[in-house]
Amino acid sequence: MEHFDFIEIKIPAKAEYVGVVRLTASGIANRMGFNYEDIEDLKVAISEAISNAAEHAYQKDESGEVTVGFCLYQDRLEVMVADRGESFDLKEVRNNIGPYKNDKSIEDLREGGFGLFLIEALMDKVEIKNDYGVIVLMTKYLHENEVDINDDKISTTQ
Amino acid sequence: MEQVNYLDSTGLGVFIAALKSTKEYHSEMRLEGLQSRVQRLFEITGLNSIMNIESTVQGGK
Repeated sequence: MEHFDFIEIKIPAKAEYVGVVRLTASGIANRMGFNYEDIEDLKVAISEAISNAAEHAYQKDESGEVTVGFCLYQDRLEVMVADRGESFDLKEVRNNIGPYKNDKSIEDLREGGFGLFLIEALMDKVEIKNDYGVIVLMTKYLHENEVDINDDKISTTQ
Repeated sequence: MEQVNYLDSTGLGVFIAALKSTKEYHSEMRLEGLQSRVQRLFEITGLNSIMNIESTVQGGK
């Protein structure tokens, strides 16, 4: 089996903890050798996924938790965001995402709900499982030249 | 918006609400001095085509 390091973090499903995971993600991606642009993309995508989990899944229950798992592979980072509470309607979410069109009238503009669209635009691969709660699995690949630079023998403290 | 270095879908939603409000009151909204990271989000979502966004060269005012 392909080797990977795994990091898991569990936070209360509250908006104020999203930033904590955002910083963690930034640290992990930096350690792996992602460039600045990709790290910024990861931060936005992961924040959106956690915000979705926190906002949609725990509307009625304030004691919920969101679990975020990071799988660090040689060539890619997989991030899974799981809520285990009440699920939101994925079909409805998917039908309500997409870029804005010029011809849409101003009254039809949505003020929210395109977090998932942003995630798909910013990550290389996005999968969603909707069996027990919702799990969003996002993948971002390292570019080849950056893998070489960040050989895993090198410590970040150097 | 030169000082804005992070924006998510919630922030974009605020600008959509503001845009709606300007139409309602027959006023105008213009966004200036976006950092390239922030501008990218407006481009990805297509909002740049319906909002008046003044692109500035990075580092310039």
